[in-house]
Amino acid sequence: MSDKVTYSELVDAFAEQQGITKTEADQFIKAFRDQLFESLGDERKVSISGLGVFELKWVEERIGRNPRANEAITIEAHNRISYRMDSKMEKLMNKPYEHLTYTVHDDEIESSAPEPTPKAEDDQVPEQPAPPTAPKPAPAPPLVAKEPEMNADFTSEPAIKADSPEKSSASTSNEAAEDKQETQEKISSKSVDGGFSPVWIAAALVVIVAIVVTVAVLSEQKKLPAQTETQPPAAAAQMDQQRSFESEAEIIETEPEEVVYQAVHESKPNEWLFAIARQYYGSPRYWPLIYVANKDKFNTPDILEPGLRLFIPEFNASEILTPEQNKRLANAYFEVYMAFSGQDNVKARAYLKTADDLFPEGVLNSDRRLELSVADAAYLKLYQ
Amino acid sequence: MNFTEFCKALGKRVGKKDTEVKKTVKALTSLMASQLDKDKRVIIPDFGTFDTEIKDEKTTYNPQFGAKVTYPKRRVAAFTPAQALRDEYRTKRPAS
Repeated sequence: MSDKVTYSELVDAFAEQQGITKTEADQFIKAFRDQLFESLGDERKVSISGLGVFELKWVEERIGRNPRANEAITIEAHNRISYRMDSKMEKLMNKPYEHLTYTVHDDEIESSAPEPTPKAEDDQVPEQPAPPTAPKPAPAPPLVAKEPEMNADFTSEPAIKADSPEKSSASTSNEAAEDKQETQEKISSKSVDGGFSPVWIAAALVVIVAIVVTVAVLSEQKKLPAQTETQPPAAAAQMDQQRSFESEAEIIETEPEEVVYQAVHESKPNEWLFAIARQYYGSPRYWPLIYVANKDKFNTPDILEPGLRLFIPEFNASEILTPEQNKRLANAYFEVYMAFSGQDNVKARAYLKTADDLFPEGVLNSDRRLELSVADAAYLKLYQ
Repeated sequence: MNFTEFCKALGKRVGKKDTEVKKTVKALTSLMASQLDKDKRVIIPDFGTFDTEIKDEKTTYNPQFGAKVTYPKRRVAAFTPAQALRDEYRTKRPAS
């Protein structure tokens, strides 16, 4: 693409520029190089004015994919040598493109951030049980000051829904949700206009709306038993049948979690789930299964304390996983995502992506989407 | 390690004053930069290669804005470490 400057050409040019002999120039450049080489090892980060910043970045062991054979391989922990040009260099490099600037697509500020949750409600999911953990508030961007309140709002809503019988909440909560959305739109337009105090007013409004909705849903709940009593027996029977179907469906869904344990493993010092998974399953990539089976023993999935008795769930892994196994593994990766979410968003997203890759139509398009934090949902969208 | 510290260390190595070394290094880097600006690759044996890349315009989600942002085309300087450099520090863990 571009011609090169060989080392001797660089020495010649440098000698000419400095008015020194070629030997001196050669010695200086070599000294410069060796010093940079050594300092990089000692300090891990070296800034050179006019050139940029060199840095050793430690990369932990991870599972990669050999694109040619399309199989998972373990990439060992290593240092990456990163280089970033400094501002002086950047100015010089970008002279031809100085006039260009970035553009923000304003129309998406409103829609893209709060979208995931309302969208899920449109897809007729109000009957779903409340997510076990509330969606974590996204790192609050300064422009979208209303976001944390919205999150708080939505966490309170599913809880109410879970209390109420499924049939009644289907219609009312949809209406309620619509009402909410309307008020929120008003609120958001207000809060964008004004400075700081409108935000507080907006917060107060949201709280009031939440209370009103709570009261409405509760009163609806009281009405419901009377309704079912007055219904003709046939309809009641039908409903019963429906319920039994639903409970069956629930059983089918929960079944994979009732796993058989093939062994109990006592963790040793400096051991990690990666190694244990390799020992029992033949491949380190199934480690989230062990994590999920022993979730209560971990603070974070990548710190394993020695002396723990770990249950090793049964998992007959062959070269190609069955859809059920894929789903189980994807769910396990999702649990890992949940554990890292809010702590280490980079890791969390990597695991989220893995889960989505493993079983795209299963785990993340259903109710578990609700558990995604807003920022992560937006991140995932970029890849679809 | 910042530039001043680096120049002090290099000054010790070549037996010259820091200020003098600083000037010379700046001259060297500006020479390299001017070569890069002409779309030439600058090769330093046993250390690595400096090159330029054109990054196309791209649209990505910026979490700070909470919106998609289109960034214009730009040119960046890139560095590819030599095998010797890569091998030397491949397994050197950070101190912490």
